[in-house]
Amino acid sequence: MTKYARWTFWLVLLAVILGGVVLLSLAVGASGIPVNRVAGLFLSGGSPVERSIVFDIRLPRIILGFSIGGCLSLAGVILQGMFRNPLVEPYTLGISGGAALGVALNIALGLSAVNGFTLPACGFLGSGAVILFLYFTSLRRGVVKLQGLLLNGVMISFISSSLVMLLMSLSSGESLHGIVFWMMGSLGGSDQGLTGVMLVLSLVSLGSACLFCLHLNALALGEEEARHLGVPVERTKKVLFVFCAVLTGFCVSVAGMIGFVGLVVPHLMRRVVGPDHRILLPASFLAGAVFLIGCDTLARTIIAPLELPVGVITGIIGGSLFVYALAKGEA
Amino acid sequence: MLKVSSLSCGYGQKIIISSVSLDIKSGEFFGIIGPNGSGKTTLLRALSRVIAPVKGEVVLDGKNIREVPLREFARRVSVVSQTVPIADMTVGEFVLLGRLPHFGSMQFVESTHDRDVAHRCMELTDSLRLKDEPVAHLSGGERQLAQIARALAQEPRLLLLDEPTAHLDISHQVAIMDLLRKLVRELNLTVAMVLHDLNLASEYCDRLALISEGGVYKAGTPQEVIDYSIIEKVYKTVVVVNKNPVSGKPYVFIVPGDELQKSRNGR
Repeated sequence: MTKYARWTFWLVLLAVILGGVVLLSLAVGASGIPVNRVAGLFLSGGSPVERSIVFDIRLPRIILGFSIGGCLSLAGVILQGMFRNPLVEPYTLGISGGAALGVALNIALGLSAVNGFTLPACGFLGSGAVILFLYFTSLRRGVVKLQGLLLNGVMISFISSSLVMLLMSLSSGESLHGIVFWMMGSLGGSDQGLTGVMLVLSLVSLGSACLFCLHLNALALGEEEARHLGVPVERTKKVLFVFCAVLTGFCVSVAGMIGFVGLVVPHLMRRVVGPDHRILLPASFLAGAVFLIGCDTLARTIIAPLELPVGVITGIIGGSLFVYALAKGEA
Repeated sequence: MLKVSSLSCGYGQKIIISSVSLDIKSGEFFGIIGPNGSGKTTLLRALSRVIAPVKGEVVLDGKNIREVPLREFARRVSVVSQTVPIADMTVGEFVLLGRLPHFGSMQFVESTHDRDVAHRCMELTDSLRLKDEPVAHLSGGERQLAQIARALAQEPRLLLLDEPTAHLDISHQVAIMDLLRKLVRELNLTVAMVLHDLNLASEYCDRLALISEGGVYKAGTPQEVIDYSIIEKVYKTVVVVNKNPVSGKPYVFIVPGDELQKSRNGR
């Protein structure tokens, strides 16, 4: 029973940390509101300005951070487990590259000026195209060849980033700035409806991913061994690949390229809670949410009232954490 | 129990096994022997459903194995492969994975029964002492024990093994083979294994199938199969077959090339 007690402990601890980070994130910013006043706002009135700052500006951002941080690390855990390769992350597969290309095209053609909603739509179309391409090029007689999938994905990443560079060199001024800013990732300025969609999507995907936790545990032994344990390996691989790809496509389309969450968080969590996917999936989801909300809070407070792109912060903090964990693990 | 009838299979266009027929009986210790590249492992992979037959069929308890659902198949047949997958988990967790085919469709945690079975299987294979060790830290022999414990946790009726004694020293070879024999006798398990070592096969197996160039060259008891003329023909090597003074089973002695030259010159 100690194993389950330990798992419960980690989940509770992560939930508490998440609560703390959310409260902190609600309180700090360009205009600081003491934490006790934030708590008060939930119970009763407070000043309309503070209410508006907390509920209309900060809370949606936090919800988006929760959803995207959770989804990206969830996709990271699944892909690393499925490929049995710790270097795979949602962005390795070229899906984000496709989304970036879609968005860059949109900005360069000035579509987003017509309707803001076309931005995520183009991103999603781009990632969808990559998903379909990858899926059908890696399918050989009903079997998904994972190594080929991975290599194709990396190549698509290169191709699409080159195409984005090409677009950037051809476009000028405002659209260039738009592309650059989008590529660095941001949780700000997203549509409320889209935030709601992401929240629902993230919770549903956490639930459905957990249905595959034992399949992923078996896959840790290799595809053939998993099959000997009665796991329908080919179906599982297909479902999980499409699942992760769509999840990544959504995240990138809504918030841009927020790197490192899907790589670093699963790694750290594997070290903390162990490799069993029954705990690793929910723990990584929560930790990813904590990590991204924390990074976003930093991004908007460090040089307030100006904002840093959150992708920069996740890269710096995530990368440093990663190097630290590796060095510590080898010592 | 397992009936193979005129089975042909291979990888893609390349046919490796052609028209093989075998009948493995319940409670039997069955050995598959043959030279490198003869198709032993391919045959075992066809029996364990990894590759599909091009022709013929494999029938388990009266039913074509392609028609048995994967999970049900995993409850009846478990497979021990030659190399142990190095996974980041303890032996206890590794053995518990063997319970997966018995989990309900919405079951995510193991029951007390599952833990009891895993415990018993580790006891039986003398791997209980390794329960909390990471699989990656085990020696070759201990890994095989853990593998067999995991396979037993599936509570199968048929155990398929691919050279479980490869790369092991003689004490571990004997330990693994003794264990398998005990399982066959005490649990009435059926064991079919690919073996490289002719003498181990002769010593432990009830029946042998000698595979040569993708077909069964000879099947029968060790006395029938391990015959110097048969072995010399299939392996294209001069050997001497004698009896093990203790067990009376046939034993294959190799003859080095220069010794052969000497004896030929002397003649």
